[in-house]
Amino acid sequence: MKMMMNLALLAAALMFAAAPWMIMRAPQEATMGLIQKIFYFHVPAAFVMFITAFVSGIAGGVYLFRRSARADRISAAAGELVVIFGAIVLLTGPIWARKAWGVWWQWDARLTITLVMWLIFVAFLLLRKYGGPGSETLSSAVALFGMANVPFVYWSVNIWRTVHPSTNVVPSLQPGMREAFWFCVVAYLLLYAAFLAARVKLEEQRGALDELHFEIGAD
Amino acid sequence: MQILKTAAALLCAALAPAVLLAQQTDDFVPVDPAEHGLEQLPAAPMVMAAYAIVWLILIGYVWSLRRRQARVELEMAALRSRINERPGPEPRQP
Repeated sequence: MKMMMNLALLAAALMFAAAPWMIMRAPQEATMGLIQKIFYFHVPAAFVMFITAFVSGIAGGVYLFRRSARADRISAAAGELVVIFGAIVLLTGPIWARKAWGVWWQWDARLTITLVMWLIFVAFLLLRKYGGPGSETLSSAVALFGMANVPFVYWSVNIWRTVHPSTNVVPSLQPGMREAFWFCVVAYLLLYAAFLAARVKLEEQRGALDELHFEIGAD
Repeated sequence: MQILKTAAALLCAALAPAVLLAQQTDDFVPVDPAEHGLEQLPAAPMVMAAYAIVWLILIGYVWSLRRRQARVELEMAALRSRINERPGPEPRQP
């Protein structure tokens, strides 16, 4: 397991190192020009953010119904990764927006719901850290609420009038752009798999540590 | 003549809203070439800044994970040595 995790991390690091070359080789977009290259690491980060929000929410749901300690650990790990990949999305997006739209931020549906979803997962982490006994149950419910935001974030650009590009962009990518984009998606997914495995392992170690504390305290 | 006057009046009435709307908009100020030059945001440093942010966040996260893992391992080793140092149970008398 550890070897697989290290391999995924190494592969992701190599792909991240090669990504600028792939991105620069991709054709420039006609209206936005060079700044559109942010797309290649902004959108894959959003993909991973959606996936990890689902993982956290589903694992949270499993914990609520079955009280499985493993599900709780996965939910905690995946929830933390929503905040990490969400931070990438929310920081790289405004840089692109500043050049493309002339403003750093716009309170339109896509951006606002993404920020709300990210804040829900920040609350999830704060609850786990400072919530005290029983916070696992509450945080699992918060993860479910966070996950419920994903469809709204995804389809917000199609439902409401917004300045953000629609969901048709990715399926209609031109050759050259398409390869670079999916290369970056695979790099992010490998990195995500390695991070999730490492973070779950940390939760397991914490669980073992708690058991040791209990063993000493019980004597 | 009367027809012409009526036509002119109707034309004015039709154009009046457009004139009013035009007056309502903010004043257009001619661009200062020097200022306009400053507004041109260079794309390359912005793309590089975004890429650097991605790397910083990911490296920061790896560092944070390693630090937390090391702390847990250290604490676990200390607890294990405490458990091992404790005297074992007294042997039972026959």
